[in-house]
Amino acid sequence: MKPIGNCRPDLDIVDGLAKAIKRAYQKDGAFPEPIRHLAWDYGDHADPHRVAREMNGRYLVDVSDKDGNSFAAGKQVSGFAQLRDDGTTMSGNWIYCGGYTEEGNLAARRDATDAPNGIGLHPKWAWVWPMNRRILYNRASVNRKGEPFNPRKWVIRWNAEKKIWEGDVPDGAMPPGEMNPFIMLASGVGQLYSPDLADGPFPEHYEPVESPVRNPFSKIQSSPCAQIWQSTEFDRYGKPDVFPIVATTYRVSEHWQTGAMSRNMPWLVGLVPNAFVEIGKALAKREGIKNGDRVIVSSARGSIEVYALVTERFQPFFIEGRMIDEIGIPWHWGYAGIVPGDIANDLTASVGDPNSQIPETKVFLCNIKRKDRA
Amino acid sequence: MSAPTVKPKAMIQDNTRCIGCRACMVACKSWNERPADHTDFFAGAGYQNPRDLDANNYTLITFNEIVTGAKPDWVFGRQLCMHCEQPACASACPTTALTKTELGPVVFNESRCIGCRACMQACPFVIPKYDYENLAPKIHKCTFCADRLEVGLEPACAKVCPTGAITFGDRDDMVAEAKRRIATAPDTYIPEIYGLEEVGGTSVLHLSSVPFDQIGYITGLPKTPMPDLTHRWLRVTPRVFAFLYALFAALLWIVRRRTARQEHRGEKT
Repeated sequence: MKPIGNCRPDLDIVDGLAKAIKRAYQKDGAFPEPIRHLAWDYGDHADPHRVAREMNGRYLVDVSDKDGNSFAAGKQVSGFAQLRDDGTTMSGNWIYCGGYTEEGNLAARRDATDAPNGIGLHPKWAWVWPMNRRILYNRASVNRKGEPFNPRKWVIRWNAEKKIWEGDVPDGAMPPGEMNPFIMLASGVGQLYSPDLADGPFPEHYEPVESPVRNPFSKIQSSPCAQIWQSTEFDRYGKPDVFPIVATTYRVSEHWQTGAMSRNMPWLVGLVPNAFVEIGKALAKREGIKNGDRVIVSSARGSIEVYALVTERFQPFFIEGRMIDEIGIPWHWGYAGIVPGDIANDLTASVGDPNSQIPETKVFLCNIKRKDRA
Repeated sequence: MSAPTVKPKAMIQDNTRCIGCRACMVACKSWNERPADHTDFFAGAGYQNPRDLDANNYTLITFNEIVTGAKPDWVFGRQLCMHCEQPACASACPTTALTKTELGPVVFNESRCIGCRACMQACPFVIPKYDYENLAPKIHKCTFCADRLEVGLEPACAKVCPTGAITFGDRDDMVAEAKRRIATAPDTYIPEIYGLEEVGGTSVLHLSSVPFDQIGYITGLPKTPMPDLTHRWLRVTPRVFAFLYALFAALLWIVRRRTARQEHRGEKT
C-alpha cells in the first residue's frame, strides 16, 4: 500500500540520496573512486528484496568446494560457512547470511509447525540469525555423547545411527564431544570467572542505583562500576522514603521510539493519542486515581503530567514482607507533532551499565499523585 | 464477471494469534481511505480505540482484560462485518444497496443507499454504521476488500497481519483449517468456530482461547439464516397490503358517500 502524503520508506530516501551522490561524483570530487565504484544495484525503484539478497550474499564466480559441489556465479550462498576471503563470494553482513538463499526469503516463512522436540522453536516461522539457530550455545544442553540433559525438554540430540543432530540447528555441526558449546569464548565452556567484564571477574547481583529494597545478595547495594554522571542538574538520585514506587518505561507497538514519526501519523495517533502511565488497582485506590484521571509522576529529576490507565495487569511486588508498587510509562512523547505529550525520560536516571553503557531506564524510583492533589 | 464455478472465500480470525498491534485497523483505513479518529486517552479497556465500529472504522480490535493464567492479561477480539452467507442486511435493504457477491463479500453500493438504516436494525452482529457527521448520511461497513478480491488479492487486513492471526482462502479450506487448529491444539482453543453456523454461516470464522461472550461477541445467535426468519412474515406483506388497500378503499367510499349526503342536505336548508 502507498504511504500517505509525502511519506516514503527509508530505502527510497537512502536510494535517492545514494544515486544523487554517485551522479555528483561522476563529474568531480575529492577521492571519487569509492563512491563511483560503489555497487548500488537495487533497481530504478529500489527493491528491498535485492538489498536483502545482497545482505545474504552470493557467489561472484563459479566455485566448487572440497566435497566436489559446484556453485554457479550469481547463485545465493546458503550460509556464512560458504563465504571465502578470496574475492569469489560476497555478503553484506555475515549475520544475515543464510536468510535469503536460493530457497527465497526465509524471513517471510509463516509455517507454524514445531520442531520434533516440541519445545516451541517453530523453525519454519520466519528466520533468525545466525543460521536459523533458535537457541544459542545449544550444545550446552547435551552431554559429551550428545544426549540431552533433560530428555523431556530436549533442544538438540545426536542421532548416532544417522550421524546427525536433531532438533534445533546445533551451534557447530561437529559430532558430540568434538567441540565445546560456548563457541565465542576461547575456552569454549561457560565461565563463572570472567576478567573481561568491567564489573567482573565474578557474577554479582546489584540493585539498581535507585531501588526500594536493600540488596539481599551482597553488602554492596548497587554496582560500584556503573557509569554515574554528575555533570547536570538532572543527575540526582531519589530515596525510597520520598519516592517509594518502582517505575519502568517501555514502548507500545503503535509508536516508534520518541514518536517523531509515528506521532505525526494520524491513524496511529488515533489509536494511542496521549502520554499515559499504567498503574495497578491497589495503588490507584490508595491514591484516589480513576482510569483516565490526569496524574503527576515525579522522580528526583523532574515530573510529568500524563493520563492514568488503571489496570489489573500491573500488580504490586511482595519483597521482604513489604508490598512495593510498580508503574509503567511508555516513552513515545515529546513537545512537537500532532499529539505532543510529557516525556518519560525526564524522569529516568542517566546511569550506564558498566559494560554496555545501556541506561537504567527500565527501573527507577518515583511518586504518583492525582493532578488536583499534587 | 467471475466464472460461475468460483469458490466463495472466507477469512479465519484466530484471536489466539492476535497480539493487538492493530496493523489490520491501519491497513483497513489505508485501503478504504478513511480519515483518522480524533481520540483522547482510550475509549475502552486497555489501549482500545475507538470504543466501537463507526463510519470511519470498518474493523476494531477489542482489548479484554481477563484472568487466563496466573495473572490478568489481554485477550484480543476483533469486530468486522461477518459477510453472512445469507445476509440479513441485504434482505432488509429496500433499495438493494447491499448485495452478497459470489466471492463472499457483502458489498455496499453507496449511490443506492437512502440512509434508511434498515440494515442496522437487521444485522445480528450490529455491524453497519451510520455516517452521522455527514449531511447526506450513508451506511458504512467492512467490504471484505471486495475490490482486492476481484483482482486476486487478499483483504488488506489479512495482507498486513504480522502474526498470521488472519488467514484468507476458500471457505471450504478455511473451515477445514479452523477445525484442524482446534483439533491439534485443544488446550489453546475453545472447541467452537464463531461464524461456522451462526445465522446460517458467515465468511469470517473466529477462533478464541476463551468463550466468545467474554471478549464481547454477540452469542446465542440462531443457526437459521436471518432472512429465513423474516421471510415467514415478509412473504405475507403483499397480502397485508392488498387487504389494507381494500379496507381503506371501502372506508373512503363510505366517508365520501356520507359527506355527499351531508352536503346534499345542507343545500336543501
